[in-house]
Amino acid sequence: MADVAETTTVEEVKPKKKEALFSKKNRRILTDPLDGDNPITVQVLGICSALAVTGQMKPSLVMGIAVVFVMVCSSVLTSLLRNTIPSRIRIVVQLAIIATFVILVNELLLAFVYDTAKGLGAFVGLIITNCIVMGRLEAFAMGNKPWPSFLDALGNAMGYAIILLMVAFVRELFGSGTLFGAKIFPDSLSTNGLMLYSSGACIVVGLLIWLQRSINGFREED
Amino acid sequence: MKKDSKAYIIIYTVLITVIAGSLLGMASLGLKDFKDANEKLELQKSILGSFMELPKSTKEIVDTYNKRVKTYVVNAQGEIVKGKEAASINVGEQYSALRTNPRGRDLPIYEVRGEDGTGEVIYYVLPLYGFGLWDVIWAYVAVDAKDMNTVKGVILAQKGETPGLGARISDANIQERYKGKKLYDESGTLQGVVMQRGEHVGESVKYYESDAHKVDGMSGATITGNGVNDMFKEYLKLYDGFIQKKKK
Repeated sequence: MADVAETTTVEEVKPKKKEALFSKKNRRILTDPLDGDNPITVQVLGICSALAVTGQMKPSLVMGIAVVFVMVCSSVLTSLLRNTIPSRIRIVVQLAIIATFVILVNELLLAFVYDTAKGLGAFVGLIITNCIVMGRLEAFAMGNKPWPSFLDALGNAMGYAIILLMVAFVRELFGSGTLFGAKIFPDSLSTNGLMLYSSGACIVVGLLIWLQRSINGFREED
Repeated sequence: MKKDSKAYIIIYTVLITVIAGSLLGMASLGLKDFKDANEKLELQKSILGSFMELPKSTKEIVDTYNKRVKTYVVNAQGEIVKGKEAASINVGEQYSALRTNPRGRDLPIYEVRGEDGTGEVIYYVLPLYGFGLWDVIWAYVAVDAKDMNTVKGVILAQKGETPGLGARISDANIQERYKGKKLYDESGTLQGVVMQRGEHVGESVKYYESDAHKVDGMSGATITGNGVNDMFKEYLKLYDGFIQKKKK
């Protein structure tokens, strides 16, 4: 993480050289978090909500979209303001920015997808404390221009959302026998009650982390 | 001004607060109508859902509700409280006062008439409120106006029960079990409807068909079930005055 931030700060010194919007580096900023640098399975961030809201596909999808919105908006805004933010209170400012967008999202959800918003309950509000959001602001948006910050936020949020949906897929299918509320398994097949609990989610997330890391050959550094 | 000077920091914080605050204030005000409409529709759906199949479109739901349902507020003695609207009563907020001062409560009543909205009242829909395992639960029970005893149907709802276990109370196949049950026994004592332990999958309705006060349980959700039972007996007591009055 630190490497990325450093190299890009260096680049800032020579702003005259115009970089293509989808240069190789920018593409990597976007795609890395989807796979090899995934916030959940590799960085192991944002676990709490990945366990809590993934009982069914629909709330997971809404949650994913909400996180994408919050991350993209707060990253771009933080990046735009980065040269004005006093470093001593930068965390407070980041938090205020995130909180503003989260409350905004919550209001929008309550106004337009009332039922799902009620189902998500406190967890939309808890996006504020999602480590992925603030982690990316602090590690990336504070030191980069708006466009790369946008890509970085989008990539990380999508990486988060994808894992959320994968966990929800397994949990809803085996826990309730449905997907997006539609019956998949016949009633005669008994469902796995463990999948309905967060502990079931913990196992699914654990398996995903194992799968991802063994495919990528990722190792924790000592 | 230097970026790390105290004055700069103070001005910066104040600016951020004011901007964020006014933005959110505006958003909240601007979306208020939508949110209120959602809440109102939710209530109307619950009231109608307790005694009939919901119409498909939102417009039909609102029309049916406006035509067939009339509301008012009664006190514990069953007397109509003038000048209060059923929709404005926060049942949850009043709940904490239940044990200490049940007589001082305002109870919303939803009166349902025939399909053209005229004639005698056919059902009274009574809102109930209580606690499940994790959070509040609530219900709307439609009582037959003829005997003030037979349950036409119920809507059960929850805020934070375990999905797949306690949260099942909001499923139609659980609510179906309450249809046709009786609230009072032959001697006129309030028995309520009691969810039993154990679940008879596939024959839930049939299993307790002969018992007017029992319904099949939800396996793995005993505490939520206890909360529901509490609503159907303890909370229902509040309406006793009203029900006795209507029985006469």
